[in-house]
Amino acid sequence: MNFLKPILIAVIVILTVLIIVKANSFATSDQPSGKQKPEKDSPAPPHPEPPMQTPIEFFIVYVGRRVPVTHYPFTIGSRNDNDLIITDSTVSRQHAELFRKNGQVCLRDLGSLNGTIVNKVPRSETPIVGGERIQLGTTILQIERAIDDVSDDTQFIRR
Amino acid sequence: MANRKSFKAARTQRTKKKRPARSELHTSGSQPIVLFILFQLVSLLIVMVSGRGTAYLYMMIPLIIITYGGWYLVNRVGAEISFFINSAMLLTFGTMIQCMLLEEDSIPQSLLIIYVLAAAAGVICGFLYRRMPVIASANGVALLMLVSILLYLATLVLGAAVGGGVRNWIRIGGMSIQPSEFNKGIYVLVMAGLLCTKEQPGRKRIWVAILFTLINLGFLGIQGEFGTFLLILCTFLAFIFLFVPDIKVFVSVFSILLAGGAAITACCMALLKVTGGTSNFAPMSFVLTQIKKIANRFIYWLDPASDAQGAGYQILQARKALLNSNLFGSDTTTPLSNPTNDMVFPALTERCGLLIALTICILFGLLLVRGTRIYFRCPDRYHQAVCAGLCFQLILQAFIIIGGSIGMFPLTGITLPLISRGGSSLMSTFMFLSIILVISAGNLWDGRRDYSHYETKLQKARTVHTNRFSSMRNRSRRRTGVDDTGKS
Repeated sequence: MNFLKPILIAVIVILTVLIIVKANSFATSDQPSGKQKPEKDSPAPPHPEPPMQTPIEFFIVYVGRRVPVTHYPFTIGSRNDNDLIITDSTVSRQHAELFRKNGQVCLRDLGSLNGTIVNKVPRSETPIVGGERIQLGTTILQIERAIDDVSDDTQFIRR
Repeated sequence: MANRKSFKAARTQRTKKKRPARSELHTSGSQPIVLFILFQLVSLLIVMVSGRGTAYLYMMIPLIIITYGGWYLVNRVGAEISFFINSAMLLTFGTMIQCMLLEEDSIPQSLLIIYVLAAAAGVICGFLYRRMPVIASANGVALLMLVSILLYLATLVLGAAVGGGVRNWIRIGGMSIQPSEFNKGIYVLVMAGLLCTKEQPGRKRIWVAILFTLINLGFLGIQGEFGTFLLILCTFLAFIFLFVPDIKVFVSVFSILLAGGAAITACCMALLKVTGGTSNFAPMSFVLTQIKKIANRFIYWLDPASDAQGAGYQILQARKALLNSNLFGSDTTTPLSNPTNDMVFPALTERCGLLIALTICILFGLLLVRGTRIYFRCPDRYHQAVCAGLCFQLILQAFIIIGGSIGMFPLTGITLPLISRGGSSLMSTFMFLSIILVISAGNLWDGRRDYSHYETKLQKARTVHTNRFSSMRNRSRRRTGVDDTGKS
């Protein structure tokens, strides 16, 4: 009996270490095969492939044009280096930006002179869900959420 | 023979083919569950070798229900499985050592009842947390504060000393529970509700939080429960550090605490010297006994041999037990005071060896790592706060008691979560774990309450409307070929 206990304890310690290694999967080699894990793991750690094309979630409608929001932060203003350039004297050079916060897209005012009005309420920072009416100075932008059945539409066009 | 060989080859081939298929399925841990069953079988063998096999066989029933039922539930709601596995391993080690510490090899009825009650409490608590956004509202926080204060008052009025000297137990229908264990959880919920339901907690809310902390600390000080006192104090500091964006508040609170602590220590020393430790005035003598109690902790931590039969006995026996142990566990049994609860770590080290003790420390560290990951992934600030507070309390409790029992800190009487026997402690630990797991599953209610309910509703209605509208418009545009999506 005396010699059995140390062996068993060694075995249980080895098993514990094995379970720790398996369960706490620090090496993420087997994750692509999993169905549930990548969904859970994706939000927090930075993705191994940063150049991956994120699907476009929002469009900004500006004078009849639909401008896709391709990346974040997405800046809006009257200066030439903005992502959406608005030629309006009441719009500041750097007026507002769309950015991601905790997986949610938000709109932030970058200290503009005339302010940013979302759905008739002046806001400094607000989450965006789609369908908002944004007023920068005297310019009015409409935000649209990208529709999910884009693939069907493309098929339709090919025909 | 040849036939059999070919059959064998076919079978091996089949298994070889099957293996990748199984790994493709990958139902978040088919390999860990096999390993876990093996792990529990080996633990059963260890207890059998130690001569408490029957008791452990009976204990296996609730243990198996808790671990595998919990595993199923965790997978079902999509919670963080590794956090659960780590805590389940700790629970198995705890059951193992509790069975080894039993005096005789029979059915451990009280342990069975504790496990069943704790599991039920954990499941109910998880469900309630999912369904009750009320606890984050102002009224809910006020109610929780009231409940907490009522629990403290009940402890003061009805309190009875069970076993040890501290009057912090309430007897209800043949069972004695320790309300301070539940007050820890309520404290975290209240602090989260006060500090984290708005984007920036206002001055008033911070003051209410400080006041509530002081009330907690006062009651715990009167009861003489200094382990929980320390725990609440550290949780408060952690909350102020993490969830009050202005770092000045933390710095000022920390410096005030340091200065106040130093001043109170000096005052107490002076009082002890002036009065000589005795007084005729009743409240004064009460304060003096409490001061002496804390002072004794420090004195006998530094030099336990000065009162080897009295106050230093516990610490000396713990050291003896640690010295008797070896890597794989020795056969000696040093008599420890309260080996199932406070002194469980030296008892475990002596009976199961240093390796298992080290593994348990690593498991607690992993719980901290996993808890931190859940904290970072949680999108909502209120749930983040609850997760951080509960996880921090669990790990800190383990840290304080392990450190205290091996002589790193002065010894305070709190339980080692998941391993000690304490009924209400196990219950509250299960509750904390289930709340953390529910938070890790996501898809919870909004904890943030600083935008009006009406506005969000309006926005949702608008979204649905514009979605329909814009999709119709897009369709017509694409058909005519005017698509300026990529041109901007």
